[in-house]
This record gives sequence, C-alpha cells and structure tokens, in this order.
Amino acid sequence: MERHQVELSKYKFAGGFETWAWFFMRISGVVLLLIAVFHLLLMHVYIQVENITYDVVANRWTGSWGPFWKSYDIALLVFALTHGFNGLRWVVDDYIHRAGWNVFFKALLLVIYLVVIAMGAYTVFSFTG
Amino acid sequence: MGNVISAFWKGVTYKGGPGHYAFILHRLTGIGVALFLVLHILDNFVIMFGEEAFTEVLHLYSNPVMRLLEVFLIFSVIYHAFNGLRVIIVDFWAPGSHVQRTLWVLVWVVVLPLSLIAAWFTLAPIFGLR
Repeated sequence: MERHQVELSKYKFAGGFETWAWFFMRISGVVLLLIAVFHLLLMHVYIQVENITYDVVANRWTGSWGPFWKSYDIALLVFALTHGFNGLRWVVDDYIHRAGWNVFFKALLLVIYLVVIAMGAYTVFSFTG
Repeated sequence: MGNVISAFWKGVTYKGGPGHYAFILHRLTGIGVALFLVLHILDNFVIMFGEEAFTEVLHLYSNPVMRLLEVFLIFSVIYHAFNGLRVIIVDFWAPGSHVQRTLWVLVWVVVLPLSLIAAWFTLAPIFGLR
C-alpha cells in the first residue's frame, strides 16, 4: 500500500485569524501541558485539597515569591481560558451551522470569556491579603 | 435543532476507529475542563470577600462528591494534555499520521498511571486511608 505522508512544511503559512487560532492551540497546548498539569499535581497530590487554606493561597501571592506565583497564575488564566474558549468556539462551529444561532453562541462565549478573564485578572492583581 | 442533532450524530457515528475515539474523548474532556475553569475562576474570586467566605468555598472541595468529580477533572486534564501532544506530533511530524494508533496507546501508558496516583491521593481520605 502506498503511503502518503503529509509534509506540513510543504504548505505555505497562509496567516489569517483561523490559522493563528490553530497555531495558538498547539503552542498554548504545550505550555498548558507543563503549567496546568504541574498546577494540578501540586494542588491535588503534593499539597492535597484538604490542606489548601486561605493562608496557603494568600501567602503564595503575598510572600517573597509573590511576583512569581502571580505571574504563574496569570499565565494559567490567560492560556487556559483562551485555549478553552477557542475550543468551545470550534465546538459551536462543528455542530451549530445556522448563521444566526452560530453567531449568537459565539458572541455569548466571547462575553463570558471577557467577563471571566477580567474577574480572574482582578483577583490575582488586586489581592493584597 | 434537527440539523444540530444530525451534525452531532455524524460526529459520533463516524467510523474512524481509535483516532475517532481519541477525538471524542478529547472533545468531552476539553468541554469538561473549560466548564470547570469558569467555575474555578469564580471560586477564586471569592477570596476578594475575605478569609471566612473563601474558607467556606475551599471546604466544598474536600467533600466526597467533589473529590469524585476532581478525579474526573484530573483525568480529563491529563488525558487532554497528552492526547493534545499526540495531535501536535501527528500535525508537525510527517510520519505521525501512520503511528497515531501507537501514539494513542502511549497516551494511555502515561495518562493511566498519573491519573491513578492522583486518584489515590484525592479519594483515599474518603475511606479514612492516607
């Protein structure tokens, strides 16, 4: 059987929003594989949920490593939420084809995305203890 | 609504073998994690209302039902992460599409032990273990 290998390098990078969105999913995916999986194992295996208290979170943000943890959490917020909501946008495109409803659900996703990312950023940046 | 169901049904009944199962699970875990993410940002926002309110929210995560959901969450994140890596390899590495089934087996080799370890730490306290 003849084997067809698709060489991505043979294709010209066309640019445009959808190509960048596709590319962003790969880049943010690798970033999240590192920072989201580490966050999960740190909180659930190393610290463990019953030991997560107000002090644990507050000390992390206000201690000497505060700027590091605030940057870490902002990176998690931006990468995970953008990756997740672009994924949901693709789900809408896959199943909801009627123009009106398609635009409606994607507009709804955009509104929720903006509100939630603002709430998250506000929490991380304005927390002083 | 009919065309939404038919588009969805086509996605489910397409006979794509292991790659198709990998896709379905990738989609389900992705939607699940995205929904949890919104909840998680909202629960973190409660810290702005002070220690007492935030402590109450944190207590929710130690209850047995939540712990069971956390196991699904942990599995979902880990599966989505490593199957996503498989998708990237298939996309960027030319021979990748020919070994995608093998890669999916490798995904499980990584995902199952990691999920089981995390599940043990999450569920053991319910049974008074750990």
